[in-house]
Amino acid sequence: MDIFNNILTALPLIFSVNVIIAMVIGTTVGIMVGALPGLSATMGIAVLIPLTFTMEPLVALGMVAGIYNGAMYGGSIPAILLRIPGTPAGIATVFDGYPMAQKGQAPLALKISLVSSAIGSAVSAIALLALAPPLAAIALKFSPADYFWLALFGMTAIAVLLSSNPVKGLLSTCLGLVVGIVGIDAMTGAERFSFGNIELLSGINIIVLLTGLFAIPPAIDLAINSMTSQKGAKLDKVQEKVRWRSFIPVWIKSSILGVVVGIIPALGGNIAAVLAWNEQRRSDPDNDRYGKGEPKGVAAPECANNADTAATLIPALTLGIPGSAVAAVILGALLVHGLRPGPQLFRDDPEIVFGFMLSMLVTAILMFVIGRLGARAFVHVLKAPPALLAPMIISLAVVGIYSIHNSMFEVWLMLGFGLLGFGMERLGIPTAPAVLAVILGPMAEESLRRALLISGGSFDYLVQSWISWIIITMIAVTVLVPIWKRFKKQRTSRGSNGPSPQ
Amino acid sequence: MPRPLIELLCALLVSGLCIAGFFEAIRYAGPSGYLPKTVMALGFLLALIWAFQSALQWRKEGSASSQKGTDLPRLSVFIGLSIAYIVLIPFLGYFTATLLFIPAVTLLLGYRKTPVLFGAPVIFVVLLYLLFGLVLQVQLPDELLFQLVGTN
Repeated sequence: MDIFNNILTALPLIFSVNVIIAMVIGTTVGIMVGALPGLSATMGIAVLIPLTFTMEPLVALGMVAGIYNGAMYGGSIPAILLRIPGTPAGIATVFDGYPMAQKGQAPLALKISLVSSAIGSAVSAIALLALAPPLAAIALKFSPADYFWLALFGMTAIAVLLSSNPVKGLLSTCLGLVVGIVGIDAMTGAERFSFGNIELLSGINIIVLLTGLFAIPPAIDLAINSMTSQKGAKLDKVQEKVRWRSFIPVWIKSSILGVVVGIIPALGGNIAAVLAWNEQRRSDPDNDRYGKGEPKGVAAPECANNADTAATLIPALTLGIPGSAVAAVILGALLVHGLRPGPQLFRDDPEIVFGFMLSMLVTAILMFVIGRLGARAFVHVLKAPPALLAPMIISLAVVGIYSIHNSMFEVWLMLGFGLLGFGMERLGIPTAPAVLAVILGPMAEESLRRALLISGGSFDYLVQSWISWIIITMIAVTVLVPIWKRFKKQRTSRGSNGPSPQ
Repeated sequence: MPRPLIELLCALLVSGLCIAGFFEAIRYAGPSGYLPKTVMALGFLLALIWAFQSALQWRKEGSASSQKGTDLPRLSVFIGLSIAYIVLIPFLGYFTATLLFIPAVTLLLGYRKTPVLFGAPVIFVVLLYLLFGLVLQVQLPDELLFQLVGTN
């Protein structure tokens, strides 16, 4: 009953004028960000967070929810019209969306995408509301040792699963751990990696790192590729009628798939979308039509990638373990507003956390309304010149970071992280593990020290509970399975390259 | 330059930084040093594996696998102007510097439609001023533009 009481408490808060305006702005900006190839929800939220610094937490989080949901749908616009997914999650929408546009069915494809996205987002938000509170209640029983292993699991899972080369993923984690260490150690008062710099004593603000790693590299990419012309299908053709009832099984299947994929760390919307498209094609007796402009081939991935959104936040909000880059950025937004993600959040600030979860549901509905009203305007966003957008992103990032502490040092630091992030991307090193490690590193260190204090310095305490053992097994599986797969692949390729009989 | 060679050099650089970081971490007494030392040692080990992988790749592919062509002139222009922009903000003020930075970058990146080139940055700066100057009331560096028109 607590869930319903908390929902009832949070409802009036999210229907205040400020929060509604924030959600409308967030959703509109999100759709536009998603529609621009090269920009993602992660980047949109990373740029926005410093701007929300002075806002009430729920106003800021309502805007974040709008951007997150909106960007997932927005990514389908260039996927359908230009054959370029606006966000990685829009990749599977290209398969049938673009052929539909080629056949003059672009408005229909966009409509199917919008309806499917809204349904996926709504299901995902309901799953978040239903699953997060009980999981948080269980997590409250975790000991410091369990938390230590959980933080370690979060870091290794993302580092190993997100990169084609686990070594690079783990190096990115090390970078994040170092950034998280910088400053005065809260438990002993020792200065670490601050090198006598006063501005580093209080540590590196996570927003500086987030904005640097997620906003600057896309801006540089836009600048480099700014002369790429974008010409695609038009919206002028007559719209066809569609039997919406036939889409219901597609939406049910894809929503469930999206939610499950969202909960699993390191998978994300692009995998949910591809899996849903594949599953839809496999289960349809007329599967020859897929890839040639089948409307259900648009509905399945769009529903799945939006069903992934709020589901990604289930481990992030309840355990403080972000399963993806965008979840890490959202945790950053919570931290900026003094809210510490984890089970305590549900106990200490239920109105905020339930308000945020409800705003994921409300923005799903808003996305449908705004998407319908502004369909033509959002298509025009595609015409925005990248050469103009790139410096605008830099300007926004600069003013956002400066406004946090009025510090030019942090602006320079952000630019430094941005260039580092750009270099990392070029070298195939994922940036998300670094951000996760900044969040999880201090959590792991604090939990380990607490565990050692409780046990009087004995490391045995770390492996005494069954929860710890479950998490240790999960870490072992996460690390060993990719290594095993790689080994198996090498053996297979060696076998196939072997000397052929004469 | 071949991609594996670039990676090899970067891996060696990272391993060097990890050694330096480890020696810095040795100075941290007691529990404060556990994590920094572990991270630096782990980072060094990972960087060595990365270097080894890159060296193997380099030996296997030679100069055949060159780095995908990055448009270096555009990259340099963009990064150079971004640095100049941040340098100039304390002297010119944020809005004045932005008003110069956006058209300069856009123009140098090859965009030529004059109304958009100059109109869009003005609208953008006005919106930013309304948001940061009036709504959020963020304290930004003194504006040269406002001083020139006598409003600051």
